[in-house]
Amino acid sequence: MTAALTGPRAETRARRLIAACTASIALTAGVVSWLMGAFGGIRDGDLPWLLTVTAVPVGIALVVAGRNAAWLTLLTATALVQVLRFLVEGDFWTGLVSDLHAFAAAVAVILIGSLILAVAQGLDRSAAEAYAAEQRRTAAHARRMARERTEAMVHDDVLSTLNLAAQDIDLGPALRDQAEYALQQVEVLSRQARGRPTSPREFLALVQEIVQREDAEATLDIESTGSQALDPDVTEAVSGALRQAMVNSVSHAGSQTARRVRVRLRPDELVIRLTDDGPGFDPHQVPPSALGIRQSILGRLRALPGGSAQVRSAPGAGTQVTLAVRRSAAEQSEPAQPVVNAYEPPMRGLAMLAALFLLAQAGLAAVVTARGGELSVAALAMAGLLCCAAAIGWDDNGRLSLPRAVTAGLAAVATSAITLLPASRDVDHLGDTWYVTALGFVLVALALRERLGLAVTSGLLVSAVALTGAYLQNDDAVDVVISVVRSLCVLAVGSAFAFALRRAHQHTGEIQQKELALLRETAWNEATRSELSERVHMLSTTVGCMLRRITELTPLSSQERAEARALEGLLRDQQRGRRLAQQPLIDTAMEARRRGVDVCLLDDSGEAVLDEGILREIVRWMSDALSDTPEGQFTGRLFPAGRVESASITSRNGTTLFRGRDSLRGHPRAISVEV
Amino acid sequence: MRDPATRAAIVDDHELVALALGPVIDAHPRLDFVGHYVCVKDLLRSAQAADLVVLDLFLRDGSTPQANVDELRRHGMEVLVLTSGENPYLVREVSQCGVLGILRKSLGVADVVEAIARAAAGGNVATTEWAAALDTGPPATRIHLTEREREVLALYASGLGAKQVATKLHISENTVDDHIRRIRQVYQQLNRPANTKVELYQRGLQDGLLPLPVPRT
Repeated sequence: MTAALTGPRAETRARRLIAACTASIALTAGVVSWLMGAFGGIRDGDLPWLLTVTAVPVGIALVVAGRNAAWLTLLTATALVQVLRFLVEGDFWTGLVSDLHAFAAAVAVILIGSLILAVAQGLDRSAAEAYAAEQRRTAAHARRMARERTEAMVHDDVLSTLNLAAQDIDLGPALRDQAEYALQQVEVLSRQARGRPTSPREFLALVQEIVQREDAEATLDIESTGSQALDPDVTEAVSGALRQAMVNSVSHAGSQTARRVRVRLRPDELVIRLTDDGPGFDPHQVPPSALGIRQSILGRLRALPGGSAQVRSAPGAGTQVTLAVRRSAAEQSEPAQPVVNAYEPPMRGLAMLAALFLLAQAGLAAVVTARGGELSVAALAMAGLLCCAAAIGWDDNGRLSLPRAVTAGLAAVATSAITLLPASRDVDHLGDTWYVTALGFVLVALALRERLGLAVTSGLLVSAVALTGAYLQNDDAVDVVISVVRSLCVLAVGSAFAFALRRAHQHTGEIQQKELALLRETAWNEATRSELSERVHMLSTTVGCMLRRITELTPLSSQERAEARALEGLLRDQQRGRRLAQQPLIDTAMEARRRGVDVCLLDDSGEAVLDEGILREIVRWMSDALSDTPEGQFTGRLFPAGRVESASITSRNGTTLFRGRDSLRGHPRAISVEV
Repeated sequence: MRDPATRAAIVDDHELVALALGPVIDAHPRLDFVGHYVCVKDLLRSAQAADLVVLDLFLRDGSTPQANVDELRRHGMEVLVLTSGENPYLVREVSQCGVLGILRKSLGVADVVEAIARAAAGGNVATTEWAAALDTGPPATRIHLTEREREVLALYASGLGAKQVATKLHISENTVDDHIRRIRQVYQQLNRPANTKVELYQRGLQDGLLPLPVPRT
């Protein structure tokens, strides 16, 4: 009851599971004891059986208060039972057999229960670690991709524009076009930062809708093996271009023409091909301004990274429009599966439990023999138990091979057949068929080695054989029945635990996969968005103004050209100068470039760990030197790891090395090399 | 002496670069501008003969710089790489595949054309970017250089020019030139082919040189 009540509130999955198991076992035990009472199983002078089943309170204690409490409960309950036994004055030896098995059952409950808890906690813990690592990894990957995309799409265009704008060459409208294009790219990025990626299914539904709206008769073939979401700008550009291509086809080739749209969506590419068998046209004869082709189809696709578009047509030969977006290898590479480490149970503890159990059985065999039992029966029973145990083994906790499992099951059934022997028939003490109960424990071990079905079947066979033995005994079969019931109870409890353990493993795996997929998606999208917004913000605030100025087409003044050069340098520093790109060097570099110094900042320190204080000193050192450089070239470089010096400055004054790592903080020792 | 003029082509997906450079190249007495192409494939398809190609480091057709250089060199064209100078990773890649030099676009049209002419005449175009890229390379590749060559490379990487390096090391400019030539050959021989972006990525991992996040301040 306690377990049932506290169970749902328990904090981990495993605790809830054990609570449920224990509660149902308590219930079963109640029913069984009632049945036994009805069967007349309790003799005068014996304690009620339920009272001696210490496993139940122990299991409850384990769930509610932990392992130490469980051990304490076991000791208390055992002591209590012994005191009661003394008071009731029943048959000491019969009680001993019963109590020993009850004790073993309780110990097994504690150990196996703790094992389940440990497994679940271990899984939870390693899963939490793996999740956190995966989140970091995904976010870092997403950021890198977003950065690469920014670089690919924007920096190259923006830098080229600024570069040429900074020079005194008249490039006419070409420069304006380039600036406009660069601005568009920033806009695309900004949309990506705001937008939501489209799933392949949504995308294909959109394609279907477009095709059907423009021409309900068109055939649509879809071949989709892609599972990755599409960027919002890809969706927008491709769907827009497809709509335009459909509109063109319908308006030029007429509605009677057969149209066919083929969509191929793969992890590495998206290709849409629209074919019609209309009159066609000569692409070279079409004035560029007259058709929507140039801007709406070709322009849109070519503005995408990896995008391309092609229009093929000839008079009388129909028209074919192909839209394609190819993803780079890095973009398609799915992140690797994180490894959630499986929990390793303490094998030594389990082996010790098995050894103790077998020793206790040997003790029982000795006691029973000493009290007048047949030596051959005890010897056979012990041999059978050892056979079972050897077949199951305790070297591993994985699934037992089928031959070994079957051997163990057969050995168990064979051992139970001892009850059929004439030698075992003159039983006049309770507990003489101790080995039948012991078989229940052995079969629990079989169930735990992932042979649940075989264990239960063997358990039932054992019971059947033992009960047949009881039937053949004419007068008093109570002992065998009690042993069989106990054996079945033990097996039921053990199987329930084994089942719970397996489910815990399975469920955890499934839930982990789902959680992981969700987590990955969220982490990816968030990191991408935040990285892109950061980049877009940076670009808009730094170069947006200048790019718009260039689109105005009036020639740039020399001051504006200097500003363009300074801005180009600023963007370059953020990529190439990396750690050097911090204040006050950023401002000094801007100033120096405005007055015509060709500043080049190189961070070649890779991922070397660099003391923040030293880095600040280097940056200040370079900044001071740069302020003193009136013209010409200035190169500041952070060295790769493992060199004596950490940085150098080269200007027309020569090269100066920074040896901050070896120097006292606050006293950088600069070694000047006069050239 | 070569032909009266070296035929130079530009491969860059920015038309603007060709618009700016083309006329200046053409105006040079020893250079002949033979055309602008947006990708290496276009140039090869056009069957235009060129002796020297001014190649943009980063093309948006999904090709890798190294594959582009290898392809052009296979067709007997020498390559001079033009870069916005922002991606050290790609510069590193391309510095090791036998290019004549790596030029920063921000150098200015006149300087770029001057460098093209020097390269066309068989001279070295050792720039700071090129030297810094090699000087940062993994130690395993650097061991193939002599002590003196490493010194030359490090001085170049710090921003010095040939003349200053010569003065500093008390050697002649010709000797510096020889060193540069030998360094270029060493790296060219070490060139590990990476034809796909995945291979490039893997090599980046091997060298511990992946493009990593810019630290936030």
